[in-house]
Amino acid sequence: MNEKVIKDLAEAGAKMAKGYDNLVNVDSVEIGTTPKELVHTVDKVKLYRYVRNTPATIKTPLIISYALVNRYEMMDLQPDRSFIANLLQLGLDVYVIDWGYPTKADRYLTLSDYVNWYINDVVDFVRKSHGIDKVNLLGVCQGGTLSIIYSALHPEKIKNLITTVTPVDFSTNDGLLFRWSRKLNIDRIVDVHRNVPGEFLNNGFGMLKPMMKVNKFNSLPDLLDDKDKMMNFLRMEKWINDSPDQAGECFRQFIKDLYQENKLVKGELEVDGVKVKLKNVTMPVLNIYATEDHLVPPAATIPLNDHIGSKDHELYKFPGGHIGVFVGNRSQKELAPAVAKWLMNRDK
Amino acid sequence: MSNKNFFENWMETQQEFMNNWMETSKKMQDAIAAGKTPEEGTKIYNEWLNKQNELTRKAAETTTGQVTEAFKSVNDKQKSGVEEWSAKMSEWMKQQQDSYNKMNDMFRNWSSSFTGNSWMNDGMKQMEQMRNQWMNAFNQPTNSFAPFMNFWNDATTKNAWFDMNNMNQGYARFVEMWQPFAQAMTKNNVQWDQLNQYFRPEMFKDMLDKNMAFLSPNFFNEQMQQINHWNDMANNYNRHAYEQWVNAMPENMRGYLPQYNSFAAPNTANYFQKMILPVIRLVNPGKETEVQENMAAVAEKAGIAVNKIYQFQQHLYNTGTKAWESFITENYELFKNGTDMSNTQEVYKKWIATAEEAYTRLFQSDAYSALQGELLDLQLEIKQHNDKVAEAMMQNLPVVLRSEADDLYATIYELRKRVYALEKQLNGDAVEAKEVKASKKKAATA
Repeated sequence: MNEKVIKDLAEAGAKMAKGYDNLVNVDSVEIGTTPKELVHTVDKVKLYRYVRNTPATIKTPLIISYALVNRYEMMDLQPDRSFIANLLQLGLDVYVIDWGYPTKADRYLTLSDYVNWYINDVVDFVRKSHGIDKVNLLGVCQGGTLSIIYSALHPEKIKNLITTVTPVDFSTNDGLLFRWSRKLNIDRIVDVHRNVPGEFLNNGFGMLKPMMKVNKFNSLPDLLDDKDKMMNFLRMEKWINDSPDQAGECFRQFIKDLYQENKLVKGELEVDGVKVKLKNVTMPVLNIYATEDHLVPPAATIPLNDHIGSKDHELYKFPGGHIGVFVGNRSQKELAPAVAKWLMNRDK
Repeated sequence: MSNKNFFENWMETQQEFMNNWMETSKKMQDAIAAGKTPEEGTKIYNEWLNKQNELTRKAAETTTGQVTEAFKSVNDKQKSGVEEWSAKMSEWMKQQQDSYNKMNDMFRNWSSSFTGNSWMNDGMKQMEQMRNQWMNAFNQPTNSFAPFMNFWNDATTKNAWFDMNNMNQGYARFVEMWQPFAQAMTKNNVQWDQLNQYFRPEMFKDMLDKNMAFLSPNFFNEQMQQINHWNDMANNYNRHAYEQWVNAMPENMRGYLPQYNSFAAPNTANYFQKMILPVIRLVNPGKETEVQENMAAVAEKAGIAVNKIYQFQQHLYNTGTKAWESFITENYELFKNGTDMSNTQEVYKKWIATAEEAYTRLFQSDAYSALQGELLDLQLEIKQHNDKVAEAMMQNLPVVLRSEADDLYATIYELRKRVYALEKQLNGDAVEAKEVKASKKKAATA
């Protein structure tokens, strides 16, 4: 073993030693700190409204429907990396649906419940409280798929639909999740687990980029000298590890009907006995996808615009990954302004 | 008291240990080159040993004080963590001391037996073994970093520290794997037909396990332990009903896979034969056949699952080994073309990129997807049978069974929906609208 190698090893250990001092002084790691108020609850689902200090300049309020996997705080990770804070600054009135943490008592919640019960209830609540017929709806990832289904079933209540990194065409082979899910016995997974554990899903996500964790933690000692960078890292870690379990029946239908049988684009998906027709999505649609998305590849998102009935639809290509689209440096300058501008032009 | 924290002092001591070793190594090399007498070697050794002893003494002295000093600010809740950690550090210091004793013995054997030629032939090999001893000693406290997690209340920092520690150990393994190749390249002494001798499978496996914890055998071992745990409980369930079957069990299970036979069958039989008395009270007459059928299904599925786990691990380790070969080959080509390989961290990043590509390719294959799906299904099926055994065992006890809880949840779910529908009908949205107006007012004045 030469001297250089020994030095490298010793340096790696020394960096950890220094990092200890910085880490031990962290009291808590906070995310999702933009002020908000609980304005409504339906069953265990909560609806928050973000506090504005000035009247909104875009009159139609925006409801954000995040994925059931992980938590909505990713859009409000820290004050200088907050899609939501940016939207507020640009004049939007923003609501977010907090799906909560399903317990065993929630195992029978279905896809229909999430769409026709929860989303429908919060949409009605916002419509009534603002005295308007239609609201703007923004869906993220799986929350985007739910938003599309809702918009197809209740087009009269949605003024504009924005989808971000949202899977629609599940026939692609581009993403590992899409390949793997076809080989899963989803009935067994749900029957045994009841609710599908968040940890199980996180393991699967970890395997999509098998060495990402090594890379990440290998570079962590270098970040620990800089408190800001360290806190950025920890906030992201906190978000990643906060992974709610999935209500069993909803998960079963989502995987079977969508990942395995691609029923949404085939026009075969049924919710409460009603076929979901994408041609019923007639409102303006902004479809945002990320070019480097390894969870929801562009091949799964782009086809939306070919299947909907809307004449006013736009594809927005964002150079980055599934999460970077919301938390990256570029996103802070581009994404929220693009969304606000698009909505402003249709806020009549 | 110095301003350095315990870790910094520890690292400094380690650096001193290593410097001492390198200095000694250099003197040895010079002595060999100069054809000096064995007495010269003994003198060098004695110098090394004295210095090492002094460093060890100093390190041992500072350990206790430093731990106390470094953690004097911890609260009562954290004290147990400090105590636990202190105990581990003492253990490590002891291991460190043992390590030097081993070195000492090694040197004694060496110096007592050598002749002029053996000096030349074996001297540096012995020094290399001392280096290995140090490496082992180095890894001991690195493993001991983990208990530091106990000092934090915040789960995120705990996890970050744990993962960083794990990855750091993975890096140390990489350095150990990489350095013989690097050395051979630097000396322009690479002989491809002999490269296999540098490859250390156990170390490589350890590195992969640390890097990909979610796929490591430990993950599966834990699952198998759970299965065995259930077997344990179920097998103690009713000795009268199963005695005959139990006695025949090892014989009956000979037909299963050798891997399974090697641990599960004898264990299972053993569990049966223990017959823990209190558990016999769980006897639930009439359920014997159901339990027996499910236990048989568990045994059968576990045998298949073990085989699949082996296949799965084979995929993982084969992929890793092939990636390593291609990594070494590519780096040798780069080295020959004049690329600087002196930055180990940079080389490590290249290894990570190579491994990432190889594993992603593996995960993309249909064969892998199918095997992964099959394995997961088998494990869940085993759990399903175990759940049935558990229910059969516990049916007469005053506890709510899982299937009963499921019925309850179904009722609660239906009731929640009906209550919601009724509330909508009875109250309309008047109450909600009122609440919103109030909250809107609050929001506007915020």
